Amino acid sequence: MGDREVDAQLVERAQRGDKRAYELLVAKYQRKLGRLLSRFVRDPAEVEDVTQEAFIKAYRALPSFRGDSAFYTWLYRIAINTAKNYLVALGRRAPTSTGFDNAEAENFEDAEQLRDSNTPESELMGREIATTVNKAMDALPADLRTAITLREIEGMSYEEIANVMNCPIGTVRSRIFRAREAIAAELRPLLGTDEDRRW
Amino acid sequence: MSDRISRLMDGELDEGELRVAWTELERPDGVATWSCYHAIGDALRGTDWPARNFGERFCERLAAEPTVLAPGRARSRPLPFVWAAAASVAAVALTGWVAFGTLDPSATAVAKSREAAGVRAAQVRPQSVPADYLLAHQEYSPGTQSLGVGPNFRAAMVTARDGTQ
Repeated sequence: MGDREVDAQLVERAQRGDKRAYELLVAKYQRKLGRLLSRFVRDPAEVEDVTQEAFIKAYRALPSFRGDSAFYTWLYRIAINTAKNYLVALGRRAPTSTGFDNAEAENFEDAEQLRDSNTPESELMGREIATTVNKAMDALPADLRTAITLREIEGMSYEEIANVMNCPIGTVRSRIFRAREAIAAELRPLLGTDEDRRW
Repeated sequence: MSDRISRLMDGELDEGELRVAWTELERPDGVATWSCYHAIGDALRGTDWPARNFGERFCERLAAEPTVLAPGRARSRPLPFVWAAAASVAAVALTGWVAFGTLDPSATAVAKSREAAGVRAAQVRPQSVPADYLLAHQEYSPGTQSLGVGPNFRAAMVTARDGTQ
């Protein structure tokens, strides 16, 4: 089961009335979508509103999603339209040459522009998250750090990582899980994702 | 917490473990783990977007939304009528194959008998055997011993060639 299939399963569950499944999709894509929309809407508070609105519109439109494209590609189109409509409603002009297409939707990165639009508070929060993750990464044993780097940054499958690290797939699974748990232990208090809060 | 959520988000979970993984994700700590792991991945990729309490506010909005109920798609489970149609097509194909397989040799035999009759007619003409002789001795011909189309073909040809009979 690949990443797209995981999304498809979550969408199917949401289409059957499972709101929690949709929350998992939102938890997964909120940052990616928020960064994307910050290209259109400069004010961070407005970006957050438009991102929320895009997710709600996508939820309402779920019955029309047939899985012909990846869920994020479909969500991306809804988000772009939501941002454009938002700007039109405010009497502002939507960017006409964003240069985005569906292929880019999967790999959107634009750190510089986002930093420009951050408020001091959100910038501090972002810096705290990055610092915490980096510190936790540095404290990891080398084999755990390599495994999670190959997975999260290089996007390798477990099988590919096993070949690169010359170890069984079971060891790769274990290393990635242990790396995540070690970083999560440092990050949870900052994110407020302790067990008393949902996410 | 087991490593199932970690493997699920990487698309590396076996189908057999899905049910247990979904059960884990129904618990608040499962959702928190899923969210935290994704936040780690986004931070490592530089995709962090620092919206404080985004999830909490979104859940409140989502709770106020009418629950979506989409008609189920038949992608994963073929409908019964699809199996019925497939069985019908297979049955027709099998019957056709058997029927044509049986008929084919007969068709070949008819074609060969026509060919043979043509050859025989070509050989008969140069010998210029009288037609009345052939008719008189027709009862001794091997063709009269068998039932079929052979004798009829020969009689018709003789009649046509002679023009008088």
